[in-house]
Amino acid sequence: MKKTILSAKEVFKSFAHNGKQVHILTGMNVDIYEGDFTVIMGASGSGKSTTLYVLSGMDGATGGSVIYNGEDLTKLSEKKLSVLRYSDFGFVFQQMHLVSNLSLYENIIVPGYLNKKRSASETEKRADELLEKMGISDIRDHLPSQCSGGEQQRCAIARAVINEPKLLFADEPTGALNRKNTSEVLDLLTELNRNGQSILMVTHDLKAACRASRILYIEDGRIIGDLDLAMYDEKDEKSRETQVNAWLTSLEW
Amino acid sequence: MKSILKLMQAHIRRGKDAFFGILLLMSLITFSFSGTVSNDDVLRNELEKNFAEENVGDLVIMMYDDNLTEDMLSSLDSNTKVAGYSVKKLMYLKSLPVVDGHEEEVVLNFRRWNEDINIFNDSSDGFTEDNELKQGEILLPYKLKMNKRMKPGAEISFTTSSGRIEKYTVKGFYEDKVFGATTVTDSYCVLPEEDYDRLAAEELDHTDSPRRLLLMAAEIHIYAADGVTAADLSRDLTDGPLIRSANAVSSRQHLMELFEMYSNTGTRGMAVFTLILLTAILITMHNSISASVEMEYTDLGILRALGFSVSRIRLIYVAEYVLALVAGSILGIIVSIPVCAVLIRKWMNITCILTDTGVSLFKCAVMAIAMIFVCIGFIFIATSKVSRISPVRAISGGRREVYFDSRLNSRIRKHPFSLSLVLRQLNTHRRSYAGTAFIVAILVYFLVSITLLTANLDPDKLFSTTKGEINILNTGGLTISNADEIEDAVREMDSGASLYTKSSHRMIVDWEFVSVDSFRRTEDQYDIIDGRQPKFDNEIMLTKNLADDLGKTIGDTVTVTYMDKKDEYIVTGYFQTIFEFGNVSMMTSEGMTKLGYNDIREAQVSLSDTSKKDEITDMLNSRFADRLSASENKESATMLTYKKIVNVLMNSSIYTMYVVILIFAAVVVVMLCRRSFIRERTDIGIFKALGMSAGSLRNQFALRFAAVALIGSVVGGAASAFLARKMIAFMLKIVGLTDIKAAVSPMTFALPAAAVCICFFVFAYIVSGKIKSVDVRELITE
Repeated sequence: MKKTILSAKEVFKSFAHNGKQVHILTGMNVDIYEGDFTVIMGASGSGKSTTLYVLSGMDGATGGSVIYNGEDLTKLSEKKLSVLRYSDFGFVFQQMHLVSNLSLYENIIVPGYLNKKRSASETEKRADELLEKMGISDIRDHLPSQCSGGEQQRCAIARAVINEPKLLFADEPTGALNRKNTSEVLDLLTELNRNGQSILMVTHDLKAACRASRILYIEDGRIIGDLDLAMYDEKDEKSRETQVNAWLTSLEW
Repeated sequence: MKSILKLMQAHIRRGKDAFFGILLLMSLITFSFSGTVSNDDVLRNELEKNFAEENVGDLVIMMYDDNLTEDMLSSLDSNTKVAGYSVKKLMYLKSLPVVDGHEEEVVLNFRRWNEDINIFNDSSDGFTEDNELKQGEILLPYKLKMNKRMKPGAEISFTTSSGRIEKYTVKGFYEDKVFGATTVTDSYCVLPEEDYDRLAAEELDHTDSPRRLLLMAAEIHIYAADGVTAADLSRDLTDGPLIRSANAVSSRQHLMELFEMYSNTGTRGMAVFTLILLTAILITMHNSISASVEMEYTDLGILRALGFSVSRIRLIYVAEYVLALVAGSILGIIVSIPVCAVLIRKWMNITCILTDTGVSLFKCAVMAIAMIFVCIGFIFIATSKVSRISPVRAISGGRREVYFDSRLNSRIRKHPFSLSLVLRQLNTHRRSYAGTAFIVAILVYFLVSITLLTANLDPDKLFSTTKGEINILNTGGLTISNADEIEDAVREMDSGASLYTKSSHRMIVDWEFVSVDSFRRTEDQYDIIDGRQPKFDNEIMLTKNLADDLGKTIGDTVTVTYMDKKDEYIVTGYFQTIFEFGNVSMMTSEGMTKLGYNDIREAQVSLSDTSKKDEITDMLNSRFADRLSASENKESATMLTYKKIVNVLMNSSIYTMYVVILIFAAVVVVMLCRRSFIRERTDIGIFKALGMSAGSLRNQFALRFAAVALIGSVVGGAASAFLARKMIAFMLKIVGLTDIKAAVSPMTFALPAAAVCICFFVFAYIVSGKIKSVDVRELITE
């Protein structure tokens, strides 16, 4: 029996545009399980990224609740959400969003220093390990502007996991990358998941979606499809793609 | 042109904070100088008009009638440098007047009424139609209005040479157009024609009286021939009996400066202040333009790719900032109109003449335009980096050479985490923050200078005269020669008592007609800058101002002439004083008697046993009634007035400057913070997404600007430690102070630095409030 790590109950998200209400999420209900590599897919404008931001507490919900660790994230204060962001959650953005005047190493270590449970030396040691793991150890002192997209995104992933978050959120992490870098980043995420990291990722890329152990399909602000998959094995990539494609086609993707 | 205007409009819409920030700063500057410029202007215009109406000579000589001879006046007729002369009569009162039963420490002189006299109305903003003066009435000069007892309806009485008491009722206050300023010690009152003529006739009958309390005097106005200056005239007449017998000699210019003394100091101060604010504006504009070019790098690259030349793009900035500067100037001048009216009216308490209260629009506009031209030049320099924008690189996102102007060189640490991030931000945009720190440095420099200025213009120090419990008034027989006798008499009753005397008379020192003082006891009389006080009868001490005018240094010799006697004196040192604009010299009592001057102007008795004050006062009055009048020593009304004026001037100037500077600092920091916030918006969003709380981000943001302010304060404080004294000396030279000696304490620097740092922190914290209100999602919108 999988343990629920995050649970959304009748979540609504709307915003006003030109005097009219635009509804993005219309009663979203979903449970995210520990250890899963969950991917959210859907057509453009279906509410994928909004779902991710609401579930991570980055964005507020207009209605409903998002329960994490017994607490409703939609009702938490900004201060408590801040603590959650560095201690329990990690976030990887499509555009990387590394701080431009910090080196790769510093970008990783800054959220690490926010964690009061770890000493500075422990944080620095972990950062060194992550740099090594991500294969960017030799460019650790480079600025983001001096690195390729793939290198930046690997740094962003390292930053997101420096504090060993319970859940890693990723919003189209390969959206701005070329094929080679995409493959490298997906490999890293897959490996992290194999080592126990729970991941919730938004993507429109079939190849990226195939890395998941669970795919959720969103349409009109609601989950209308839920596919469980076995743990990813690159040997089964082709058949996996066929399976996922067929499923998506059935949902008129 | 249309494209430039369109782009300018769009630019302003996007960067409203920069536009309105510059507008506000410029309006602050124009507001600040409008008042001073207008006050100076209206005052000078009024003085020119008044002096022309009064037919004031190029040289004005005051002397007792007894000393004036027909030969002296005839010598003027035959002098080719003299175009003509006129003589006005007046009376000097040599006793203290009594006002409503109280003796007042004020020197009164009397003129005869004439129909051109203007009497102030009740609100002192105009003149009454009725300027007649009936018998038994007296008009006082406006400067005496500050004396609480001397109000309309009060009774003024004084003793004449015949021993009779003359009584008058104060009708009101009139405008003394030539000698009315509070900086002139004597007060010229107006008596009705009949009373004046009667007193003059009575005085003529008592010229042999041993106790002459009313002395007839002449005011001789000498008009220089074409091409002859007042200085030439004065030098030409110096060796003649006219000047040697005079009580006072002033040039027309000097008489005008008596009115303009404080406003001239204010003008110098305002010139420095304006320069400082202008420098701050230039730096702020530079920062703003640099940040704008950096943030709009891609847009500017697009414009260049579309065919806009570098000069066209720079014109957009010029147009935008000139519009802000012009609008700010107009706003500043408009806002200053009512304030000017109030300021100029307040200034009337010093000048005591009625002037217009309008803003000198032409002069203010010219000054504003000159500053705008300086700013335009600077904008061109600041926009030079536009020429380095490569269209292709800008559009493809390469802006390394624009974005970073420094390498990373401060480590990010866990402890202190916030401070290490602050330092990193400061390093990243070092040039921009250096400009801000420089602005802070000049603001702090100015505030420290103002604080030093206040300390040096402490009225109690500036206007201190000899101290003692008993004041002695010379009623005609008190001389340097008989001072010992009086002191011995006092010591019979209080062995520790001392007699302090001051003698003072205008004499010719080389070719300058200046006040020469001597003291019975010389300790702490004047603020010595260099050298020592005179000890022997052939020594003299000069003010630095006077020494510079005469071209003399310590060790040189000057010739002092009094009446028909002259002698050589060695310069022993320099001192400074605000009296007589610093045209003062000092010698020993023996040095003075050597020239034949033996009178004592003022004397005080300092007691060791103050319980004997009344007893000793009575003894002096009974034993030496033929030569003096003794009373309890109270600070004279004149001195109190001076102190009040200086206090009011200093306090209001300092508070105003502190407020203007802090407003200036607030505007600058808000402009810079807003720019920084826009530039770092995404980074702030990232930090927030990583888990930094809004509060901690705000603290870092505000701390960064406080750190910049602190660096600037240290630089400004250090600069003021070295340069402020020289600047203040330049400002105060005009009133006779050449050396700034006030003690400096850590608070002198700490207070202005703290004020500016707190201002920066507070306003940066307020601007950073957006961090709290803006959603993380909005900050990092994909």
